[in-house]
Amino acid sequence: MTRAPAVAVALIAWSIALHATGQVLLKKTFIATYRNRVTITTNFKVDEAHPHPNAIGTSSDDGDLHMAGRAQAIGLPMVVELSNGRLNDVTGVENAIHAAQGTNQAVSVSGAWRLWMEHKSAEPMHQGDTVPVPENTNPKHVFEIHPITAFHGTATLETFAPLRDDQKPTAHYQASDAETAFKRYEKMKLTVDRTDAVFVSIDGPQTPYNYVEFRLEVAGQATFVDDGAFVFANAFDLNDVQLTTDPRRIVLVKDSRPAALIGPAPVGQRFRVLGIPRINLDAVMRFAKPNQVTVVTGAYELIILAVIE
Amino acid sequence: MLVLLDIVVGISFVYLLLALISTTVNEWVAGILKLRSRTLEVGIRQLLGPAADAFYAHPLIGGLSAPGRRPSYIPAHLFSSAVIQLLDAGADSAGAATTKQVERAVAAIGRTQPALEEWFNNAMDRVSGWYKRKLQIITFAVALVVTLVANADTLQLIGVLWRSPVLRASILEQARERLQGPRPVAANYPDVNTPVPPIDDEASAEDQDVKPLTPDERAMLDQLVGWSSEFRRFNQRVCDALTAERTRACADEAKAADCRQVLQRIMAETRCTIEGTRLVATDASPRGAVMSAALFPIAGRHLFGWLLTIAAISMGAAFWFDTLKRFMNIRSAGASPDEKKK
Repeated sequence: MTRAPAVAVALIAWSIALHATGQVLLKKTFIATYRNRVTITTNFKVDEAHPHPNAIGTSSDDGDLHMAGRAQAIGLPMVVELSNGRLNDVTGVENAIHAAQGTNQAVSVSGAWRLWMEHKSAEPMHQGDTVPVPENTNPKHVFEIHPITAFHGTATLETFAPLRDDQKPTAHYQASDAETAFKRYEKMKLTVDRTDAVFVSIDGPQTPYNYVEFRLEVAGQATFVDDGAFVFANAFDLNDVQLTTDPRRIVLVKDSRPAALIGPAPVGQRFRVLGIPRINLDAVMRFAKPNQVTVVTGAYELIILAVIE
Repeated sequence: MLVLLDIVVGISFVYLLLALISTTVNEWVAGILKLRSRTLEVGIRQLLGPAADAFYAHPLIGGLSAPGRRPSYIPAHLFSSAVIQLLDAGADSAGAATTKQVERAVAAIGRTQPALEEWFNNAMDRVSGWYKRKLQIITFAVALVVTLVANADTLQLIGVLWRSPVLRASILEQARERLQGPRPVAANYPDVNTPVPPIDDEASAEDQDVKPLTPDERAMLDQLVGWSSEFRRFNQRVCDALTAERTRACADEAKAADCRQVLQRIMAETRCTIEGTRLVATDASPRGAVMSAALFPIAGRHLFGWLLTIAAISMGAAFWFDTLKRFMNIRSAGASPDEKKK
């Protein structure tokens, strides 16, 4: 009995030392600002960039041009991705990216913010901590600006189109299988800890499936915000099998072609689209209870990159 | 080893329950003090100076809270829009002198929404730091009060758990139930025509309560912590004194009146109960005089255990939830096949 208190206290101390997993801790002020916003604009230092965009093919051969770097206002390890980088129209932007690379000079980048647990770290990521200089274009990260809408003052809205390679017009992109992807999205359980005064901790399983091609059916009226619109829609696979149990939020970037087509569409209209999933921060805050740890399912939304006509 | 693990599970569970109580009190105190909105207001006044009143009166900001109250959160885009409109309105609304400080700041950072939002977000990082520090002080104070009110002495708790296998088994069962917790919440919005909820909904969501303790958990806490044993110890002194008095008064027939009086006092005394011929202490309040005389010995006996509990509760309910889960997992992995069958 005499040693019991010491051993018990030691066991608890050991547990305290182990208390860390790969969650992301976002500032509440950041979430309040971006939960119902489509895009983010920040000054970004391009530390690493791919010399060329990915080829157009299957899965990760998605035509993206990846870059990794640091943005003080975001304060997280992050990457920025130019979608549809194989278009002739964005050659100038690619040149600007490579010109900025490694200069340690921050340039203005705008685009859809994207929180997604595809490349999460085993360690917690604390927003506001000093972000190390990335060693490659794909460091451990959960925050992205993807797709970008402007780089250093040049708009890239023409990239919101079906993925193609202007040098190889026969190349065709094969996105993730919609049924498999949506199964993962729908099952994704996020553990949301809202017990801290300043940070909200979000943890979830590693979830791939960046690009998904599916049919959406508009389920309600769109709400237009400063930088785009949100609308609820049900998702179907290309054989018209419903993939979502409840309507999910669709994110439309202002002045993009998907926004022009889907934004004013009536309830029931269907579109074949290419989408990119992200964590729905509004759902995280609406459904995770304050001062508690809550597990939330279905807290994702889809940024629409292209309407496939 | 399993006994030790059970004790650690028990302690973690008690810490979790006490931390849940503390969280409720914390939020209540923070709400009464309007800590969030007041701290935000200090930050806004530091940014905008005399123009802060005009800023709060702006419809974009005024609409974030009930009339006569200050908002707890201000989204950065509303801040930047309101500031730009205030500056545009200039002398007509707030007066040139009041907007001077803002004019100077905006001239330095640029009169664009992204620049103003970055300015605001940087300031809010500082405000969050102040808020967290204030809340830490409240958290510590609440943990101190909860620990003392509950007499939650970690070392005493370990002793109780060590001696009582029944209590350990009961705690394991309740911990298991607590860990199962509620089912995951599905993020299904109630209205498909409102993909962006009104700001009022966001604010009201902040005021929800913490999941309360179940009656079983409260009953278990009563068994593990509290002042009952201390009270009985003090009361025993009163009972012993009354016993001595009764012996003196009732041994001598000449003192029959005194004896009757003592017996009446014994009957009326809530701190003692008669068991056979003995007076046994109850856990009724020992009343002020005994408490003040015994306060220092009690504090000396419990101080270290109390400090451990205060530090533990201050770590928060989420931490103890995770810790409990971890130890329960270890315990399940380490249990004997026979135990698993049970």
